[in-house]
Amino acid sequence: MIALAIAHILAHSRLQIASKDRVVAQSFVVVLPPGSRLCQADEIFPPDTADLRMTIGTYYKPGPRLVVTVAAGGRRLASGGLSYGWRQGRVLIPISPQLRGTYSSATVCISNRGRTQVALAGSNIGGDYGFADYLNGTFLASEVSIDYMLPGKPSWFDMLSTLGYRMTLGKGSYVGWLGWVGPLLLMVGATVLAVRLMLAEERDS
Amino acid sequence: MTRGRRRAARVWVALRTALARPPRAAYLCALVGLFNALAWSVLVPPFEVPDEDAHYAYVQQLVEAGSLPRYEPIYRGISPAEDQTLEVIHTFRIVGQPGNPAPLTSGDQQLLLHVEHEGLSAKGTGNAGSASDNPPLYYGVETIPFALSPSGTVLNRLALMRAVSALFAGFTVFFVFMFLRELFPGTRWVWPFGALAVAFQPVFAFISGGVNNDSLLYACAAALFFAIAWMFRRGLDERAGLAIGAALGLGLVAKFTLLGFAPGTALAILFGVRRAWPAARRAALRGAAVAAALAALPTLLYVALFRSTITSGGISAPAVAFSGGHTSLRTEIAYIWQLFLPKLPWQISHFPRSELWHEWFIGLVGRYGWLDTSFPFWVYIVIGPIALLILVAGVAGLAREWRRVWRRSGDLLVYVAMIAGLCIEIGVESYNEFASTGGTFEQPRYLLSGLCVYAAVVALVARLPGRRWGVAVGGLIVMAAFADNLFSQLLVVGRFYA
Repeated sequence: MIALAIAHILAHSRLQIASKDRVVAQSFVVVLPPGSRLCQADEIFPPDTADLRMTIGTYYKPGPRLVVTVAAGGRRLASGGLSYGWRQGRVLIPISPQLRGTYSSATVCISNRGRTQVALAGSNIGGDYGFADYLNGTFLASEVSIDYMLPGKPSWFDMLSTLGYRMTLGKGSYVGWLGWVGPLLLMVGATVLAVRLMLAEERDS
Repeated sequence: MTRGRRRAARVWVALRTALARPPRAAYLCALVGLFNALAWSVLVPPFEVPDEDAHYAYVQQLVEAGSLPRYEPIYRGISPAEDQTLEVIHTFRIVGQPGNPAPLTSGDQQLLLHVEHEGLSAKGTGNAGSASDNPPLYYGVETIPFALSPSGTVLNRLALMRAVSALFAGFTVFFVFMFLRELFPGTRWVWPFGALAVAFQPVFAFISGGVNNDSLLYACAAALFFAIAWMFRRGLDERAGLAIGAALGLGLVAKFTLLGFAPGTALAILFGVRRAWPAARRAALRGAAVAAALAALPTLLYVALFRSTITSGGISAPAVAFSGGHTSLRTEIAYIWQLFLPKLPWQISHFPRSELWHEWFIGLVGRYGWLDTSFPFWVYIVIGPIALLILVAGVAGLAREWRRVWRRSGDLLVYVAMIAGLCIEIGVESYNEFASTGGTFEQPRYLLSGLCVYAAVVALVARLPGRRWGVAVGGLIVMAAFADNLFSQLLVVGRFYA
């Protein structure tokens, strides 16, 4: 039964993040008037990003045309956007190309090329997340929430190697690759011991 | 050899003999507990176990400054090394935000390596946040991996300290097994089932896999239950007094929460003396004296040696700021009652929801991270009736053996008093916190000092249908605990790495 439940979970597909900037979308913090451009610097741009996910309000109107660019070291890495008519909420903005590497200190810019304003969600506790935001070149204290999404809707099975890699990060060199092998082996060991103990009791009964 | 020395040697030999005798299954169950806690320790990202930053800071202060930490109301950071590490692994952007994952990219890893190679100072402000007021035993033990770690980085030290915490999980499971052996001496086949149910209790393993003094508290609490059960079976003498006093005394300087067991323990000693009277009264009185002295000594030493730290460290007296001074014993009793049991008709409601269900049941089935990671609600709805069934079967198991239970009603009373004492202790702390700040104190992990009782319920349920079917029932309960543990680990993987 446990194995069946795990198989069911592994087959489940959903949108998956490549990474995110961890800014909490608490409220709408920046209004982007027509013709304006917001840039957020010091982002880590992860590999295999196919879409940016942002929470954007359109004041209940059809969304205007948006253009997004991602740059690092003075070089444009990827770009994309949305055509007129999208709906407000959590919005996926496709970008291309999908890159293989990670780029630290990337700058993500979003331009409003339409006729109506939009509002971007994030946090307005100044500098709390370590990003620098500029609206048409003017510094802002607020930071916007950006998720970097993997292409399509991978299943958990497809994600296994990615999850395994992620479990090795940010834990120090003693844990390192043991980040995923360790729990697996330890749980196999615990299971074998427990089954052995219970079978011994059953044999004796 | 003097008479005192001969007696000490006799006690030592008896203790060694008693501990050398545990069945192999006790060690294997302990190994299961250790493996599970170690798995959790590697699985959970650094500092994502409640207050782990503060517990680490306590140890860091002991090693780097050679003194106990002091609580500072105005937060000025901990130490450059720990503060910077917490920053680059996004700790406080993850805590309380279930949508925010742990570091996911090589870019995050590069930032961490950069900080680790900076060689930042581990000397801090002396502040260990919420851990500052804790007694030092656990942290003293944790100075060993901290100081011996060949790498001086925060995360490598933390990994070793977590492994030591996991060792305490193994000890806890061992003592749970030994407790069951004393409680059900005639049905040895139930011992592993109770101990394995504890070994796979996911919140216990999660907390024990982190740097948290609760892990030592659980081991001391289980040792205390074992020592008391041992005394009930074999009588109160110096050996029993030594074991009871040592478990309570060491537990108190691991965490003062164990104070909740003090009235129940005193009652146990009282019963021990009464049962020994008059034939073995000398040995029993000596045992009682040894227990009392050993239980009090570590705490007295701690208070005497570090009094200034404790008083300036801000151990808070019951405060009434938030309640505007409108507190009374009656209100406090009603508050503590409702913290654990349904509200009585004549009581004023203190909680907007049933704490028994929302805080304790849901929390013990599984709530992880800094209490920000739970299963979907339907999972608890499914598990609820199963847990209720186990509880009812446990009571039925007790009722079926009512003659034996009646004969040993003193034992049962002691265990009930211990759990009640723990609940009252948690309740008083919770009420003080609520009355002074309006905040919440209670967390499900505080009840895990009573793991022996949980194991006893599992054993009672397994005994209910007799050995033939009992093995299957015990196996089913262990499998249910195993499933809860496994899916909890998957939940944590999904929460932090996806």
